[in-house]
Amino acid sequence: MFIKHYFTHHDFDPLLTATAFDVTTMTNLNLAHPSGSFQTRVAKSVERAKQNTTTHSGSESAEELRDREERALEVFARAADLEAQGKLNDALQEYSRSFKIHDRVDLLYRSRLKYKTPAGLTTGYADQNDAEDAEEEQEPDGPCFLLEAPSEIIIDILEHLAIQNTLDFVHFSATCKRVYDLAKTERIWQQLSMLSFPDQVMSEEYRQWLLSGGQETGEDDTEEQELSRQLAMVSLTDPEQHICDTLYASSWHYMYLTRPRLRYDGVYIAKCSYIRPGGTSNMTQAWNTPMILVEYYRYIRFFPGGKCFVMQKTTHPEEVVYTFGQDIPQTRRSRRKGNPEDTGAWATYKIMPDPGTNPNNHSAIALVEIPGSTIVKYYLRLGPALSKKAFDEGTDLERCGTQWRKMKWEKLSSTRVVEDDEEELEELPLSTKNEKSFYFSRVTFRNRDVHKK
Amino acid sequence: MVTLVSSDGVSFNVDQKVASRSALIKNMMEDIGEDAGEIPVPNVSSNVLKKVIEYCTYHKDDPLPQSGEDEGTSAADKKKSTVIDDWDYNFLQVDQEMLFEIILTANYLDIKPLLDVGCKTVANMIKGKTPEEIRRTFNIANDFTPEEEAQIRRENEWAEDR
Repeated sequence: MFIKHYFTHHDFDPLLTATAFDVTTMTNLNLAHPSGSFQTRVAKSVERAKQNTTTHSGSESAEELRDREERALEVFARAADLEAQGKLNDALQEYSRSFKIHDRVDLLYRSRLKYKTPAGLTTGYADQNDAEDAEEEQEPDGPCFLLEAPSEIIIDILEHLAIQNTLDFVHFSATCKRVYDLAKTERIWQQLSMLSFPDQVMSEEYRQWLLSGGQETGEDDTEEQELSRQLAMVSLTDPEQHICDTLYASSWHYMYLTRPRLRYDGVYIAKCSYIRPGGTSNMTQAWNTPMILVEYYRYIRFFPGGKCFVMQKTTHPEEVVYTFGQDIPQTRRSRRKGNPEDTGAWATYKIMPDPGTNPNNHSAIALVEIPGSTIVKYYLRLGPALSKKAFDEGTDLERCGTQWRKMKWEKLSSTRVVEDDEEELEELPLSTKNEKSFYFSRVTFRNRDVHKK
Repeated sequence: MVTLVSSDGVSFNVDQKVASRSALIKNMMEDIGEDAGEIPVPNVSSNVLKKVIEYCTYHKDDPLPQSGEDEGTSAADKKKSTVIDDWDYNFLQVDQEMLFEIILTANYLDIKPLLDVGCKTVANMIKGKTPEEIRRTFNIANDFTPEEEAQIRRENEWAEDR
């Protein structure tokens, strides 16, 4: 889920906190001894420590060195421990003692930490290592009935998983080489493609662009070409197969992972933030201009059939996304005048061709139209996709993942509807300078699933 | 009545209707004629064959799956039929060895619905687990190097929930 993202960076790392702490204590001590020069003293002590080490390293044997490292590490670990208890002054003293014994103790400690946990200290990754070790010990010695089964049965199981939840499918495929290779079976990807692409809402131009193998419908088209294209289209009994053959090198796997599409099983979220100077009040004699951090989210939930729900709000995703199920009232409108996006509005969407894109790794534009007294249009780019070559080589596969859930702003515009003269629609481009790309998050909605009607 | 003989020589007398749940036996009976007599079922042991016959007996009146439809079942249909009915669910509450034996037998004897429900049961055992948990559940040995694992994680980025 989306929320996980926020916490991953806060893993406890004693070294990071140690440095942060050093700085703060230094300033504190400076305040406590306004005349004293703590920093120079630290500098001097470091200098002294360096001298000590040079004298050490000249004479000592490898054994003595190891012994000295151990002592320094011990003191350093104690210091970290004290710091964790909040005894900052004691900790500082111990830290500097450890540095005096060995000037590289922090680096040593860091490298040592990866392999064992010093007494009294638990760290995120040391724990993880332990857990992994434990797992390795119980390596399977019993028979694996699953892998004894013939490939067709494993493929069947993979297929069931893929159709129900792609996450379970990839987790299973990541268990061992045999299953990983079987997960590449085209039949599975064909099933997945057939589940998602026929549902996509495409503009007629885009559909034709796809079916004609990525040829632009230019003006220089001869009538003959036009005719042959139309004939080809009429005779198509299986358009998806045709698209797969012409644009995706007959690989359903490649097509499923790279063809532009919109996902219906979650919400696209763009977190937008920018800083602008705030107005100064005349009442206060301010000698600094307040800066205002503007932060809001844009939400789009797409539904099969061409409708989507658009909202622009300051509320955190966690509080709103679950309510974006199928039963959002169709006529939800703002009571107040103003921007319909602020309270959430129903809109229409379709996938449009992206002019001039390369058919081999083409991108497309998702056009979202929000009706109202002024029509607001979002032009969002999907792709471009990974080329087949890069896909086969597997060099840049992370991009598949990004492309899969990202929509970049291409254009934002508003069109005033002129009542009298409907043909004179003036489309005014709006700035997308402060807008951020949309990212997809899968959401389990509180109401029924879209697919179960 | 036909008699099915397991690999370990145990005979089971079953109704023709029950036996014809298996497309393989059904075809065999059509080829040989009504008086098929004993049909050997090699590579299926008696305890497994007994279970499979139990399944066929319970489902003997279900409509037979249309032959030739096997490739035609669309993904959408499969998505709908993810639910396992109670009897089948309880029937497959067996240890893994037996579960896979049943699946293999269903595959060999060509009993589509049983094969299907067996695979679904395995799929349900995989659901919601991490790769490591799946390995532990099924005793799968991890034959990837750490680098390969990292690469696969990147490849599978597209499916992650975020």
